[in-house]
Parts: sequence; C-alpha cells; structure tokens
Amino acid sequence: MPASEKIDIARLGVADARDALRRGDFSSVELVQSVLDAIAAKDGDIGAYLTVDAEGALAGAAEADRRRRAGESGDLLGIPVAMKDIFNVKGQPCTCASRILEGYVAPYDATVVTRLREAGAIPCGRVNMDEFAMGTSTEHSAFHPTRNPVAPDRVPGGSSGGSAAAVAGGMALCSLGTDTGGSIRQPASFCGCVGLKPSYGRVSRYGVTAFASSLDQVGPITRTVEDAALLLRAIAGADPHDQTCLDRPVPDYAGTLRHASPAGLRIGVPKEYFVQGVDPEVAAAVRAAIDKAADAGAEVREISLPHTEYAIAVYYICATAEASANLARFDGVRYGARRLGPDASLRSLYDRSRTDGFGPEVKRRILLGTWVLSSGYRDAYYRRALKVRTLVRRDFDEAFAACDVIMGPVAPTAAPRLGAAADDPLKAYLGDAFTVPANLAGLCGISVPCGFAEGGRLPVGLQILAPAFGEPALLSAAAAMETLLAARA
Amino acid sequence: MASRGPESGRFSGFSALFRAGPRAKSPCAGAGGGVCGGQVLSLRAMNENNSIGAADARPAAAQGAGGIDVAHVCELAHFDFSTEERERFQKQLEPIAAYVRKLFEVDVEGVEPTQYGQPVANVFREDVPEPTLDRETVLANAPDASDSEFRMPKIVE
Repeated sequence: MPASEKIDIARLGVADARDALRRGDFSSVELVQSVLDAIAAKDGDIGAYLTVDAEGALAGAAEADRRRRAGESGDLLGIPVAMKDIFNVKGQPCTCASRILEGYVAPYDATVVTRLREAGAIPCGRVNMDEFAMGTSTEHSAFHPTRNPVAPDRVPGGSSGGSAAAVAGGMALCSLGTDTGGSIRQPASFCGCVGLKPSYGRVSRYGVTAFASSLDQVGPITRTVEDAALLLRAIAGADPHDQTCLDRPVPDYAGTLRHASPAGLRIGVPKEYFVQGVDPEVAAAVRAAIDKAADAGAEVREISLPHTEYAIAVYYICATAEASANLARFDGVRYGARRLGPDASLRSLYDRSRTDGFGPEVKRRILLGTWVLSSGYRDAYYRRALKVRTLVRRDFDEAFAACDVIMGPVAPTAAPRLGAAADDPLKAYLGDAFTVPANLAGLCGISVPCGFAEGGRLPVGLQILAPAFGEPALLSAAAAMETLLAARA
Repeated sequence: MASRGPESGRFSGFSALFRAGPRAKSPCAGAGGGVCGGQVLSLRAMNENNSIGAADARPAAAQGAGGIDVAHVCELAHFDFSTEERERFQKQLEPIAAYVRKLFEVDVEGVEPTQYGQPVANVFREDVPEPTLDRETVLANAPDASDSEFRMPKIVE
C-alpha cells in the first residue's frame, strides 16, 4: 500500500504522527513521502510552498528512522516541518520571498533549525510569506500569492500565510513562522489553525532574517494546541548567539495540558477589542467561545486596555524604524541581487540594487522608518512612540493583576478576498489592531479556532494573551478552550 | 444576522476604535518645535472625518512641516525612484504619516521609553573563539567576487 493511502496527512497532527511512528504504523520516510505527495497533488492550486527539498527531506527521514532503530523516540523524531522562507537552513535558499535575495543559499542553520534537527525533525520545504514578513495577506510575496485552502477566493493572512496554508491545506503537519505584529496568529486565525507567538526572549532569533528586532519572535503554526506545545519545547531556550533570548527554564509545555480546564480561570475581556468596526460575526463567535468558558466555570470579567487605540501608530513607527536599519544590509555588496546604474558608480550600485530588489510594501516601510528616524522627526515620532509603547505595556501589567489570561478576537474580520487591500496600505495596517499590542509588550499569545463567519465558510480565531513567559498558563487555557469548542483544523 | 462580506465596509466605522479615548489637548505638546506645526487642523480633520484613510489626502505642502517628503527620504534610504514612483509613494504614505500623528494626543510627560520586548542588560558569555564561516562559503553568495574578496565598482580615481 502506498504511504499516502495509509497516512491521512490532511488530519494528522504532530502528536498523532509521533504516536504512530512509535507504534511503527509507518516510517518517517513514508510520512515525509506522503507530505511530498500531498504537496505535488494540491499545492498547484494553493501556492503555499516556494521550494521543496524532496531529496534532503527524504534523506533526513531516513536518518530519523535510523535514529529510531538505534533507540531514540523523541517527540519530534521523524516529523517534517514546513519552514517559513525567513529561516536560514544550511544549503537551502532563503529569499524572504524577495527578489533581492534570489540566488542566496544559506551558509548556516538558524538556532531553531539546529534545535529541530537535534530533536530529529526535518525541515522539508520553504513556505511563502509577505516579503521580509511585511504584510498581512502573503500577497506581498515577490513570487506568487498564496490562496486560503479553506476558501480559495480569500487570502491566507500573513505574513506567515504559507505556513498556515500548508497546515490547513493538508500539505504539512506543522510549520514554523515568525510574528512581529501578528504574523503567526492572524494567518492561523484566517486558516483555522493554531498559531503561537511565544514571549519576546523565549526563542532564539539567530539565523532568522530580522525585520524589527525588538518585536520579532519565532513560533509554530499547528493543528492542535498540544502540537504547538511540543514544537515550542523543542525550539525555546537561551542561545549564546542571541542576547535577547533569555536564560529561563523550558518546561514540558505539553505535559501540563492534559488536565487543562477552564474552571477557575480568570479571563479578562478588553472592551477595546469589541468596538464598532469589528465584524459582528467575528465578535459573536469570540463572545460565544468566552461564554462557553464562563459556563464551564471560568471567571470572566471586562477589563480595559486604554492605549489600544494608539498601538498601531506605535507599531508602525517602531517596526518600520527598526526595519529601515535592519534592511540597510541589503545593498548588493555581499549577497543577493546586484544592479548598477548607468554611471556604474558605487552609489548607483546601492540605489539600483535596492530599488529593483525590494517590492513596494518593503519600500513603503523602509521609507516610513527612515522618515521617523530622520533629523527633526526622531524625537517627535520615534522617541514618542517608544514612550507610548511603555503605556501600552503598563495597560497589560495592570490588566494581568486581575486576570490570568486575556481573550478577544485575533483580527477584526475573517479572511478578506485576494486584492481587497491592494491600494490602501493604511487600511491593511488597521487590521493589526489586536495583535500588535502583544508584540509591543513582549507577551505571549495564541490563536485558537473558535467558529466561523460568512455562513460557516471562513474560520475565526480566538486570541488568548498571557504575561511574558506565561506560556504554561497560555497553553493550558488554549487547550481548555480547544476541548470546549471541539475545534480542530 | 445578515452575512456580510469582509470587503463590504470591512473597515467602515473601524476608525471609531481609534477615535475613542482622550482628545488632543495640544497635539504639539512636547513634540518639539517646528515638526508638527500646522498639525492641529489636520488632526482635528482626522477625528471628525471618521475615515482615517481619507483624512489627509491633501498634498504634502498643505500638511505643514510634519508631512513626509519622499524625495528627501528616498535619498537617505538609498532608493532611486522614477518621478512616478516617488509620487505614488508620496500619495500612499501621506495618510499613514498623518495617522501616526495620533500619538501627539498622548501625554508622555515623565514616561520612560520601552526599547525592547523584555528588559535585558549586560548579557555576557565566555570569551571563547568559535569557528566562523569559511571564506569560500561566504563568497559563494557574493554577486561579484575575485581573489577571495568582494568586487566593487572603483571608488578612487
């Protein structure tokens, strides 16, 4: 029997695959082959992947099978992982979905990749994203857009849209993405997956192309909360190559989920997350989920995060300022595409390489970031934004004094149609209102499927937030909600 | 409840979210002289318009000194735009530049800035040399290289 017939790749989660591999139901080579078969069969319509390293993935699977025969049995041994095109994986391209990095081959592994390999997981393909993780729809990929597998006329969200589409489309068991302002949680919400943004400082960013260094975090997109917990445990922890990654113990996150229950959980519901402009169906689905938690014994109270309305302005100043500095390294000198102007000068090399290499959304953000840091504007805009960022953080400090977790919508709407925000960048930015605060404050957050909008057609995600390094409480609450809602991608 | 397409009025009234809260007492307070001169009107227009995206579609000159000047900024950011590109970015960025002026509403007197997601200082590691990437591997990614070096246009006569 071919591998793809005995493995239901469209439903299989990480924990399921781990158990099946341990039982010997199938080998890792068979598992990886069935993922490759699914990609070949389905991805033509979805466009989740940019490149697939079939040979490398099968070799990695054979190695995992050897390790298993030698007595290893770790949670991720032999599990294929779809990698956002932002992670350096030695020997693979890493374009960040940008023309400027076409032809670049990663000369080393990111720390998260090293850790996945140590655990026996297999980076099996590179998935699409908004260029340099800037965008919320994956339409800003320089190569091709990705369709939402749940509703192909819709975007999968972004920037980790390829990750969510691969998982929701049955072409990956799990994926790693990055979240600077919602880029894991929002696509997970749009595609009906689980998306976990760990606390700032929980996961190393070494080898992950930097967008906004004070906000970026790496995290998983999966089918279940338990799967997210398994992946987080593998990738979390201090790294001498990333000083912002804190030296704190990494607990057995999945082990704490077994008896997760909403009884006694103190849930704060910010009134600022249910305002006019949030799609009524989205609000209703999220409210219904929170009501179920209350019925099951959770203590639900309304809270206020008064600086929510300023979070987007703070974010689009801080993130673009940092991006303008981080992306200064792409200048056509050491890697990536090089172009020369008519006078063949050094200056023309910088200017033409960048002008031809970056796409419009990246240019907009570099321009905005350069502007807020430029002479005469730095104090008025950038410094002020950093101060308001403190106020956003304080809102959460105060809120978490009275609740264990905060719940609300991930995004104000379900997945929009492809092309809906093409000519209005600000309109797209406003959709990040409920996700950026967690990044500004360094919190952890997760999106769990909680219902549908558009006549049951489009998934809606429930966002749960917990204090920095509160992942055990966050994942427990998420697992409890998942059980309560019986929702599973 | 009637099913409503996200694209139909997806953000209609969404700006209400951003209007709620304290009104600007003095948009320029503490913002530094000159930078936001003339922004009082612009901000008020935003607040009353109920449509942030369309709030400040006036040309840059009309926005006063607080507006973004793409021609200048693209020079700093090392871009070489055509006139058409420059005008397009100018038009797209003006409403965003106007929007972020919302922050002038907030009283930040005495508030310390937050630069990172977590407060960390003085992270040390052992001073042990580690192997670095070998030259050949690094140069394999170079757009142009020769004799173990990156090749660049001539910069001295």
